[in-house]
Amino acid sequence: MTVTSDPPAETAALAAGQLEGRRERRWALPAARITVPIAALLIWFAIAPITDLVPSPAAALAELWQGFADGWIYPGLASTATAVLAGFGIGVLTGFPLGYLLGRNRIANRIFEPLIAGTFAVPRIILYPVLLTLFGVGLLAETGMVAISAFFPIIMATSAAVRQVSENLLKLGRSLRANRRQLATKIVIPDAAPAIMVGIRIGFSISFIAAIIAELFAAKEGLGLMISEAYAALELPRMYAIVLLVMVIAFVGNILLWSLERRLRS
Amino acid sequence: MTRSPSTFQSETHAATTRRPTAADEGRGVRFDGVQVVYPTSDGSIEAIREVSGAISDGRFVSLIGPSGCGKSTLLDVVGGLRRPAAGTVAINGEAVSGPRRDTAMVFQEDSTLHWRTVLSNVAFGLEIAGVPKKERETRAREIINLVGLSGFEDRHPRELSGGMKQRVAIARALLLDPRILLMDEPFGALDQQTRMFIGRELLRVWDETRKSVLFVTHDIQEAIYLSDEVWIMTARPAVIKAIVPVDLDRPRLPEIMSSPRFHELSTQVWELLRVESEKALNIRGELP
Repeated sequence: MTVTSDPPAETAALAAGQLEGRRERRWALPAARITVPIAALLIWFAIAPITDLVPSPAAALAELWQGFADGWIYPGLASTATAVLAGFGIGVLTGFPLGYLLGRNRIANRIFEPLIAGTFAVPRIILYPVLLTLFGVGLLAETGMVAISAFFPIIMATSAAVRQVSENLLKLGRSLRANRRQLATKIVIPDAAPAIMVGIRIGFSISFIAAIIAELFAAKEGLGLMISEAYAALELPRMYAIVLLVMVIAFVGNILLWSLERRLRS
Repeated sequence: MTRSPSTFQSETHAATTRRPTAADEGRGVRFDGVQVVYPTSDGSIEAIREVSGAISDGRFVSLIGPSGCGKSTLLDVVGGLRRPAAGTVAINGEAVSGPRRDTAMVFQEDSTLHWRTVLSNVAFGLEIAGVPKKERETRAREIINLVGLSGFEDRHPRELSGGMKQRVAIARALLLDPRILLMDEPFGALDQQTRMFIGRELLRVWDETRKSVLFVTHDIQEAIYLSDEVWIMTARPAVIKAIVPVDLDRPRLPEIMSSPRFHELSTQVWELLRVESEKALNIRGELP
């Protein structure tokens, strides 16, 4: 930890402050941010009439609305949400403590670090057929897939984050006679929290990706399965409706974690 | 703090330097043949060969020496963060075997907890010690006042200057009400003006609290201005080369730095230090 704070972050904060601080410019930042999705929507509107392969946004949105009104979307949504949340939860509950151990314990680090760093490069999805043969097609195999996918970014980020904790602060902790638990909860984890949060956020994104890919491959229920069924039946408005829904959920979830991360960083 | 009447008498005679008396025996810090060896990948480095001496209760002692001579290492030994290879450090007659409640450290680099407010940073030591929140915050506010940070209780370190962050660290140490304050180049990262100012502030606070201080620095003026004694260390492997008593009146104001006596003392310390600095530079020059 150096005396001065990170200059780019400072300038960014300053710039944001300037944008948001002055009353007449309050709308500037949100307005600038919303231009990108609006542009995407406009492109969609422009393309849809040209080709039969792209349904109109109105058709897709109407289909999505029907999905909620008639209820056909709920079983798939619930199934995917269950797999994502349960798998992500398992990923956090295993990846965080093991990452802490890996980062703070020299022996554990020397044994397992190369192993985990190496495994990090293996596409995790190849394990899905293995899980399918073990657990059969269903929520269990899918949740397992999500958990494995979320585990790696979380353990790697946590391990790196807790290892980079300021030596100075650890020295302070020892001189104040902090015990192991106090060192962990009052110094190491708070100091590493922003970097740990990055791993958790990435873990969440990957959880969602893993669930959808698994469902596209083999599942009994889920949004991914519904997308592939709609695709096979050439029900394009329905396919677009579900794609849109998945995008919105992933986007909102990530933004929530991202704002939490920013709050920890400030 | 209780002081024997004889101490006060000797003070009236010498006015400035308090000679250790019989009542002081065993109080304060005693170094007894302290040797420190660092393990390295190819063998070991002897950082400190032999340090013996005493800091009697309530004295302000500066430790000065060429860079890399083991000043901070010696401080870590007193703070219980490093074990000597031989010899002992005793505080009030008890050998130091680990961090103690009656010592508190201030480090050179920023050691504020960036996610906590000034108030919670200052109270941190008491929080670790298990003092209830209300009590520790009440006491923290008093110390914050003493170090001149009133009004900044709810600020975060990123909103403070380097000098203010060091005051937070000093306040945190003072709040533990240690008998011995161990300061490892606490103003090393500050600019000259801030250094002078915060040095004066430190003296003011020290005058009010009269803790023993062991102060590591490489700044001769700072050492003389602040201290009762300046201990000069040799280049590695370090021994105490000389102890220069500083017979300047207290309370001291920065103006004292332009007095003839101050210049004499500076010259004296510099003469002793120069040879060692040259040696340290030569040693470094020989390294591949």
